[in-house]
Amino acid sequence: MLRDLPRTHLRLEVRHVSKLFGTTVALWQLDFSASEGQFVLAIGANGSGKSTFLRVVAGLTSPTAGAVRWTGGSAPGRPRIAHVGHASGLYDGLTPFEHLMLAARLAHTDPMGGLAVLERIGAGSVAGVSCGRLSAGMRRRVALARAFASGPEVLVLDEPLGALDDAGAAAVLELFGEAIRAGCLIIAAAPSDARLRAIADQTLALVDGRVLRSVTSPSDGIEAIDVG
Amino acid sequence: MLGDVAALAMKDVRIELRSPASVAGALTLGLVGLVVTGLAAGPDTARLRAIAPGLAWLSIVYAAITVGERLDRIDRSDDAFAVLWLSVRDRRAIFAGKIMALTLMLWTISLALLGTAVVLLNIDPSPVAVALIPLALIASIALAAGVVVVTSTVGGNSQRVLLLPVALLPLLAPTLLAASQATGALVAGTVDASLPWFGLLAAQAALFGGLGLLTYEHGAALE
Amino acid sequence: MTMRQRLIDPPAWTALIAVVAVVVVGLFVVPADRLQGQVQRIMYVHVPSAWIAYLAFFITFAASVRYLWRRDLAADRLAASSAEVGLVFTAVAIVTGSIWGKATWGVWWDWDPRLTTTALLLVIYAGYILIRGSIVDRDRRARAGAVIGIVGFANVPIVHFSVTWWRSLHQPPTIVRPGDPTIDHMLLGELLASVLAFSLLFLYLLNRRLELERARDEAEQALLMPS
Repeated sequence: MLRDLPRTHLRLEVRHVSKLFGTTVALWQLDFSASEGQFVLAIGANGSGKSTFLRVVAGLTSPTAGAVRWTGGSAPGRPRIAHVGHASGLYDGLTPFEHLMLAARLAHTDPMGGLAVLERIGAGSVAGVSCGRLSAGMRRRVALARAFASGPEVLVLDEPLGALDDAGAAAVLELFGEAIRAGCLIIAAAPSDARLRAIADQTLALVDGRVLRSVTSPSDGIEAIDVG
Repeated sequence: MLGDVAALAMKDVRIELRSPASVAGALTLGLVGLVVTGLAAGPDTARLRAIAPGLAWLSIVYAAITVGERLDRIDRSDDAFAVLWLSVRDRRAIFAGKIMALTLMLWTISLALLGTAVVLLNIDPSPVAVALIPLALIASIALAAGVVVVTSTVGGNSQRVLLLPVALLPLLAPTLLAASQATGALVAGTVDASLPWFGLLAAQAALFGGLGLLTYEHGAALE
Repeated sequence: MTMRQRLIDPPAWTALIAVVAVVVVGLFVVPADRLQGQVQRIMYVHVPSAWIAYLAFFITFAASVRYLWRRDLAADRLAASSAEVGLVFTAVAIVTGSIWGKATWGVWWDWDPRLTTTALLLVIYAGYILIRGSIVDRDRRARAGAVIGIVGFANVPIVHFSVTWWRSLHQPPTIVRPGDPTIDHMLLGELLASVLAFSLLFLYLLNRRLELERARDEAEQALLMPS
């Protein structure tokens, strides 16, 4: 079980956010808000701006216009965010165990927490193998376990079930449920995925960097927009 | 903060120790440079001895740029840098950790190269040449700080292998000059002549390190 | 801008007339220097160029600080423009300094500390411009430029100090320097006038360069306007 986070009325406000790369529009006047204990899902085709959306929310890319504001949280304006992007963010020369130790060391959390998560999602057996020798599915598991190891208030996940087999996906979904109950805010992106949609409190359909449709309850009307 | 700095530096050192491609490569290049220059400018040993300190330090400056570039690239290759950026409380720890790791590698490289030059050129060093050890340390800090300030802000960039030396060599010119002059003075046994150069190296290290700490959070490239 | 508007450009005419005036006065009106003779006249171009080089890089430095502090793109435009215009004046200062050196010392390049420092400045800011040019993202380009603009300028005293020191090991600096108080009042007056005239030229060029940079940013911003 994941430990409960202290309730801090954490809230995210995204206002009129646009992002340009040169003259390419990646995001266009995005508005949305979310708070602790929610699961927000952005769905959209490849190139619809999902990854940029997540990086902007995580503070890894600065928007060209508009603002991302955090209120509440452990530190004002800067909650503990863990981001798992397209890339796993792993060093080929280090083992999963070493990654978890470093994450726990930097976040001042108990390193056993991350190891327990690694075990639960079926990657405990590779804890001592260099990450450079792991398969894509295993790398994804290690990256997710490390994200949990830092005791995040916000999880920002790009295609969290990508490269996972059914058993792995089931274990990860179960963890998401626990994290939400513990008060964590999860913001994820994926091309249409029924398993994620089923647990989403809010779904944003992105097309060419714009929010085409936003729905606040699971599987309500979003089927009409087939973007997957 | 200091604990975070050490943990981040150890991460870089551990990765380098497992596959020591960049330190080994820089060392080999430096050694080849020494031998080849011997062939090009020799065999007059007196002349070789005169140019040896400058040559050795030029190799070390190049090593600083290439090893520093690789350390930065390892962080960016699988987007590991994004993870660091979000997980460290005081982001300046990333900057300081990188300087610490690069300093350790450059100190190793510089001592090995200087030692080889002494042997190759039949230099009979004066006993005060032991001061080359702290000299190499201060110069390594100055080089590491200068390299990390620039690589961290330039970020992932297809042209940077060419552009980093263009930007860094003139910035690091005072360090190159001071380290060469101090080395020459120490090998000749004139400690007094070397002392001002120690001061200059410390000033470079303080300038790059200090400005880097001030600007890092605002200036670091995330991609 | 039409051809007609381009011809009626008061700042341009002011700068042009001022520069032509100081050049004419410098070449034909003021007497030759008693010690150095005719070659000293090159100082009326060299000294103002060198002064503007340092002024330009100081502006880049100050604007870079402002950008990092306030994320003000106008400051970044000023930093980039000033460095680019400054680079031209730096090159002029080095070439004229070298010509003066050939006539005075008999060699084109004597590793004189001031010229060497200026030459290093030239490569530092050439690197600054190249690195900016290699970064596509507007925000990242500004950030990288700001850090290098700050570090590069703060490094100038150390560069100068190291070169002076290094040079003094071989030969004491006994050369008659430009700007020594030995030159008489008329020469000094002309020197000050030339500094003023070249400063006007610099301000004019800087302003034109800024307009270009502003137009680029506006083109990008225009995309963001709600249609």
